[in-house]
Amino acid sequence: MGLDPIRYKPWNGQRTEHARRFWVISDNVLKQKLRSKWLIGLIILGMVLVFVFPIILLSMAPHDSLTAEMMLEVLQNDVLIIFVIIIVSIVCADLISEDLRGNSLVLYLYRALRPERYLLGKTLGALLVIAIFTLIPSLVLAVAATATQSGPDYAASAEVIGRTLVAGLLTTVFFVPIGIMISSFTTKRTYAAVGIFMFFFTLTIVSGIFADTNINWNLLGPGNVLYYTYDVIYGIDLPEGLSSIGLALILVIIMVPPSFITYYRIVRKGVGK
Amino acid sequence: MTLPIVQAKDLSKWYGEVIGLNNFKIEVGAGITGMVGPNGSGKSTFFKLVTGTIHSNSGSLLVLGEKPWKNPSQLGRIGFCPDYDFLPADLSGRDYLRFAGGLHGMKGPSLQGRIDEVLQIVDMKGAADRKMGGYSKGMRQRMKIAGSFLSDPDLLLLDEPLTGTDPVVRRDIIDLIKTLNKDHGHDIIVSSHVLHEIERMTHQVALIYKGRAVASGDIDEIRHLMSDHPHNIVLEGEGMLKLAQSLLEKDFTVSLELSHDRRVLNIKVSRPDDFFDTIPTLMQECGCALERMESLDDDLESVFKYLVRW
Repeated sequence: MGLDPIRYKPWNGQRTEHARRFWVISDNVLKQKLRSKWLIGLIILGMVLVFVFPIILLSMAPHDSLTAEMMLEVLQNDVLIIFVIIIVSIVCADLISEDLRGNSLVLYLYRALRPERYLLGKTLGALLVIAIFTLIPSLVLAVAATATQSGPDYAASAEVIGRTLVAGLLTTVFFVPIGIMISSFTTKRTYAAVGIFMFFFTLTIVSGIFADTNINWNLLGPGNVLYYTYDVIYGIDLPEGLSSIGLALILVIIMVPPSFITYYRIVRKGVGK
Repeated sequence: MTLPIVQAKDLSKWYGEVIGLNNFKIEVGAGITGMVGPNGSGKSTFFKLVTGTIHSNSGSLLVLGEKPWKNPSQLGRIGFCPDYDFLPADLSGRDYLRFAGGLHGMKGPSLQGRIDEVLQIVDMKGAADRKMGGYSKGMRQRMKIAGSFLSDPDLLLLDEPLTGTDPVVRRDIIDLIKTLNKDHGHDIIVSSHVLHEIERMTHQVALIYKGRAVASGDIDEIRHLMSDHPHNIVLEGEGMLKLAQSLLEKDFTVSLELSHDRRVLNIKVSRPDDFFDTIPTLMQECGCALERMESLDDDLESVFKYLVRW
């Protein structure tokens, strides 16, 4: 095919499988986000305000073993939720919007990468960044409390560590699908960041207004949904009158349809009808 | 006989009520092929179909012997350089190529070696570690092309690679495209809406108009077909009156129009080749000083007007 056999040098290095190439996108997102001093500063500030004091307190205060109540006291904290929402707003805002603005969506889609792999790569990259704040410190807290316990029941503590892992993963994943979906609606990262924050903030306000009339209105507030889900994860009974089916439904609604909408947006913008 | 690189039969793609391609037929062979058509003629739709990012509504398409739709491994054999700027401003050229290589599954020292080789080919080694936000238009075009052939594809698709570049950059990019074919073995389909730019890269062209391939083959043959139609030519300079009188005696002259100041001569000729062969002798005989001569029919719209009239 038009080859000049004397000068032509084909590239013959090894290639990774197609199915694993989304990691390149995740890796790129992670590196790009960790270059932001503002984001790193925010994550450190959040860790100091939410986790550092409890880690010191739990390590020094006498305790037999790590309990669900100890972890819930730390995790069911409005400051934690506010920081998670702010971090998600910053991390997710430019994930798709910047690619739409700069037309770099084609960079991915014309390179043997399907839209779903592109979305997976972006989502995973965002999750890795957010997990630095939501998953790692809570696990460190749980392990530190277990390491300094005075009682012999390490199995019970290990169980709580396992539940903490699940709770941390949920906190990491919970806000991201909506964050990425809003990012795919605009080509301006600022609009996306404000949009993501205001979306969750508005839901929280509306839920707070109506919660006195019926406890299930709490399920409209994303923070409350997380708190109730923590209760379920740690084996604590839900408040009386709260619909567990409603809670499950809200969890699914917050996390599943936004991913499909984002996928649809990517296909529309990058591939066409 | 070698298989065609791209083979499209009765290919149609429409977006709602808008037709992108309409019963499009083409066979693209090895080497460089120019795809020429005005804006909105269907070039980008064709590239999207070739890269498998959209599916045709009807017809068949084979690229490198395989169907491109839902065929990512085959897509890895195609390099694509879109017509618009998508390079991230905050990445250096080298980082961009590393990232693009990663998306193609390339990694490790062999990728580093390939990046150096590609940077050498596009003559961007000196600026590779600078942020791309500070690149000139020409540098960005080179980097886009570098990204498209980094993975060593069998087929390169370059969508309007010369758009917005100055004449010097244009010449460099044309040379680069020829090198990529001649020395590096890439078969290339390059699109443009300027016929003479394509002519400097290749003589193998396909003309697209309103979603149809109106002609394909050697550019000289297409020009020959065009030469059967009257051509409008403008001449400007001193001594145009005498030249007009001489031209009136020639049988290829269809009509003549001289401006009031007798400096500009509009002439319609039936055989442009004969006209261009004769004009130097006539100018010498008439003693006229020509300052400008241009064919009004060299633009693409005129070419298409001729071709679709048949």
